[in-house]
Amino acid sequence: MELLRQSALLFRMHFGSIARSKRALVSLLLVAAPPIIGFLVVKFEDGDNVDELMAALGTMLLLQVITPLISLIVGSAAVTEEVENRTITYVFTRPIHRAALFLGRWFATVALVCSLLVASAATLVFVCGLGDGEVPAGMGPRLLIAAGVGGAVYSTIFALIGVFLRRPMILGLGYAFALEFLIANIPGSAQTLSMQFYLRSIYVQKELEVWDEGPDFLVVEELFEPGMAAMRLALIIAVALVVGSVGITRKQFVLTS
Amino acid sequence: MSVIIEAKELARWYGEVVGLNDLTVTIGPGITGLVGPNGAGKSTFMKLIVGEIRPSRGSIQVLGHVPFANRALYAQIGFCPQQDALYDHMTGRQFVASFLRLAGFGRQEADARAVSAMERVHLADAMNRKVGGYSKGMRQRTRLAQSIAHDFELLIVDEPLTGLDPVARHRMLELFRQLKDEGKAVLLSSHVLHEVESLTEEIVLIHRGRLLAQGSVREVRKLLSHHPRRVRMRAREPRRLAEACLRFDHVGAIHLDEDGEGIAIETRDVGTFFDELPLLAAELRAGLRSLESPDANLEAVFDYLVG
Repeated sequence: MELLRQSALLFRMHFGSIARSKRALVSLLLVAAPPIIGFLVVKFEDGDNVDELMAALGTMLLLQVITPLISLIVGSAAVTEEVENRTITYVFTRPIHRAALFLGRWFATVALVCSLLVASAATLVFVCGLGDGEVPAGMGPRLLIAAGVGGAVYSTIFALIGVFLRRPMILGLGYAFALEFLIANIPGSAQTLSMQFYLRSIYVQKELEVWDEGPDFLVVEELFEPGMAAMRLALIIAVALVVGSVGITRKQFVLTS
Repeated sequence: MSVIIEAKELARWYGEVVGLNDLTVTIGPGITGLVGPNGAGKSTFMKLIVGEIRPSRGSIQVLGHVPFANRALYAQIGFCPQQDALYDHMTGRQFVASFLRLAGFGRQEADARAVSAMERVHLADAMNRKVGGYSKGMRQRTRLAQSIAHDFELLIVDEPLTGLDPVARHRMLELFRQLKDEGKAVLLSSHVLHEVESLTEEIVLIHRGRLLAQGSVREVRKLLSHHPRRVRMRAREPRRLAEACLRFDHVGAIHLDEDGEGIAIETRDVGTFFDELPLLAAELRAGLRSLESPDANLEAVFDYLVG
C-alpha cells in the first residue's frame, strides 16, 4: 500500500511537468501527423475509400511509426530525466520505495502518451468521416484501443530500458525501428515476437473487406483475437514493471558532480 | 549513540578512477567537518554514507544501518546534496512538503513542517514562489530546508556554503550550531577550511581518496610534531632573541627580516617554544612586540599533511 501511495504521489508531482515538457510538445506535433495527412487525402485526393485510408494510416503510420516514436521520446525519460537532472538523489535518500519513482513516473508518461495517441486516433477517425465514404463500424473504436494499448506497452518497454541505460534512445530507436520493423514486416510466425503483431490483432477486424487487400506482411488469418492480444500485451507490461521495479531498487545511479 | 558513522577499509572506485580508498574512520555526535580539496573524495564518501552508491570494498554503517537503499535509515537522516538540482516547476514550499508527504507525513503536517523549515532557512518570504526563479543561494537553502524538515538524527550536508553571500553564510553556520544544540549530529563537507574551523573542532581530512587525519584541529596539529612549524615574531632586539632561541633543541632554522625587527623561526615543538619564549624574552629584555604562527590555521595543517 505504501508503494502505491508513494507512486501515486510521485505521479501527481511529475505529470504536470512531463505534460509541459519539450518532449510532450514534440510528441504533440508528431501525433498531429496522421489526422493532418488523413484530412489532406480526404479533401484533395480520395474521399471515397476512407476505410482503406484508415487502414493504411492506422497500421503503417499511427501504430507502426508514431506510437513507438512518441513512446520512446516520452517513455524513455521516465527515469533517465531524474538521473540527468540529478533530482533522483532526493527520492533515493528519503524513506521512499525506489520502485515508486519508476512506477509513478512510468504512469505519468503512459498517461500522457496514451492520451496523445488516443486523441490522434480519434481525430483521424473524425477526419476520415468527413469524406464521402463511410468508416466501417468498429474500426474507429478498435484503432483507439490499439493506439492506447500500443502507447502503454511501448512506453513501458522504453521506461524499462531507461532504468538500466543512461542513454536509452539509441537502443530504443534500434529496437523500435530496426528490430521491430524487421520482425513485424516479414510474413511468418516470427511476427508474434513483435508488439506490432498484437496491436494489429487488436485493430484488424478480420471480417472487413478492407483487410483482404492489405500489404503482404499482414496475414489476417494468423492474427490473434483482440482479447488474447491485449492479454499478451498486458502480461508484457506487467513483467516489464516488475523487472523495472526490482532493477531500480538494486541499481546504483552514479551521478557525476 | 556514540558512533554515528563507522567506515572500515572503505573503498569506492568508478571504473579505473579511485573515488575513495581504504578509508577507516569513526564519526561521533556533534558537528564534524569533512575537509579536503576538490576531488579528494568527500562527495563519494557522502554518497556512500547516504547509500546512493555501494562500496567497492570495505563496509560502512550509519546509525547502525548499512545505508544502501535503506528506508529505515533514511527516516533518521537528512541529506543536502551539492548539486544544484530541484524541481523547478514547484514552489519551495511544495518541494519540501512533497518529500515530507512521500516520507509518510499527512498533508497538513507536511505543509506545516515545510513552512517551518523554509522559515528556518530564512526563505519564508519566497516559499510560495517557483523554485525555478530562485537565486543560487536560495536554491541552496531550499535544499537544506528539505533535509531538515523531518525528525532526523544526522544531517549530512555537501559543500553547504558554496554560493552563499556572507549574511546567508553566517545564518547557515548559525543554523548548524542550533542543530547541534538540539542534539543533532551534523556532518558537513567543505574545501574552504576556515569555514569548517569556525564551526567545529572535529575534522576528518581526506585527500586523494584517503584519510589524512582525524580528530580535533589541535589533535591533528599534534600529529605534525615531526614537522617544523613556523613562528613569526617582532621584537626590539631581534638579533639577541634569535641567538637565544638557538639554545632550544627543537628550534631549527632562524631567519631575520630585512627590516631589522622581524624574526621567523622553525620549531619542531611549538608548544614548548610558546611556553619558554616569554621567559626568555623577559630575561633578554628583547622587547617582544608580536607573536604569530602562520601555520596555526587549518589551511596550513592541510598543506603540511598533503606535503
